[in-house]
Amino acid sequence: MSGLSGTTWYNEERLPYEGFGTSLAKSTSPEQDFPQWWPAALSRILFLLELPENWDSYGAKKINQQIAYHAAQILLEITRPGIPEPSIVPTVRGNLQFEWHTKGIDLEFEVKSSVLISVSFEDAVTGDEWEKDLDYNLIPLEDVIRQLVSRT
Amino acid sequence: MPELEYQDDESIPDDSLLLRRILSDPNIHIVWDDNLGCWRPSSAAFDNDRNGNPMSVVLSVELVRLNRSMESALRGHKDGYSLASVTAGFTRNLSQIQKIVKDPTPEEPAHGLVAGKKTQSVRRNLAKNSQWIVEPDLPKP
Repeated sequence: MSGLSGTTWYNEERLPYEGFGTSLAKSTSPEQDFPQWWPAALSRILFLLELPENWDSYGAKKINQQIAYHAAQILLEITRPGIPEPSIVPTVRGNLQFEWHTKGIDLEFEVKSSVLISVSFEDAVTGDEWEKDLDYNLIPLEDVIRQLVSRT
Repeated sequence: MPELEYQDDESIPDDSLLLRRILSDPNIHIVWDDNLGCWRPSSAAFDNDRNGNPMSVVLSVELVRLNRSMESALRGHKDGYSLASVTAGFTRNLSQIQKIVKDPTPEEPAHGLVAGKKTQSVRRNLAKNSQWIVEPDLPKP
């Protein structure tokens, strides 16, 4: 799939988030290849944006629209061909978290702001395990995504 | 209350359970773990509250004392929730010190708190080592 126009994820009735997909599309290269699960991922982010306050019954915050936007941007930035579909989960602080638990790897990252994400990585095959806060430098995250994609 | 003011309650045995409500919707806090071959709670479900206050749990040791079932931890929240557990001992031995205290409330006399920093890896370890008490009824993806 190339570009966001013509995809079915965008629902005109979701007016509060009308600009979300459009501005995200503008931030991407027209040549960028999107994974097959990308429309579903965006639909899911829009779904999570509609959760009310206290959606977990423990007092969780509503998902922050700016955070959701940055999260989608980061997901696009690190996406490469063959990357499995992530689980996308809300956090109590109103942030979004992406998770992969496959091929012996547990990879999770929470988008906390436009310049801060917390990454946790565990590889049952190599025994490698770490957690890091990343700012503008997403290379450690891109490296483990590469491992995830290349592992059969 | 600042974290430092909490003292771990040693009357809560290591083999007792800390129970946590989890929304049964797989679109929220339940993820498919291909490595474990099962649905399990996301690490995001084992966190301190939105303001950083300690994580709420129901204490199995208190449920037993009150002659209540484990499933009764869901009372008032039954529809749409599953119930996950971790042992007190496992929680105490995580990389960041976690203190477990009793915190009875009018709504839940068996209420407790898990105080301590919940880093991403602490949350992931809690989630990966949790066991279902009330399992969500979800098909394999």
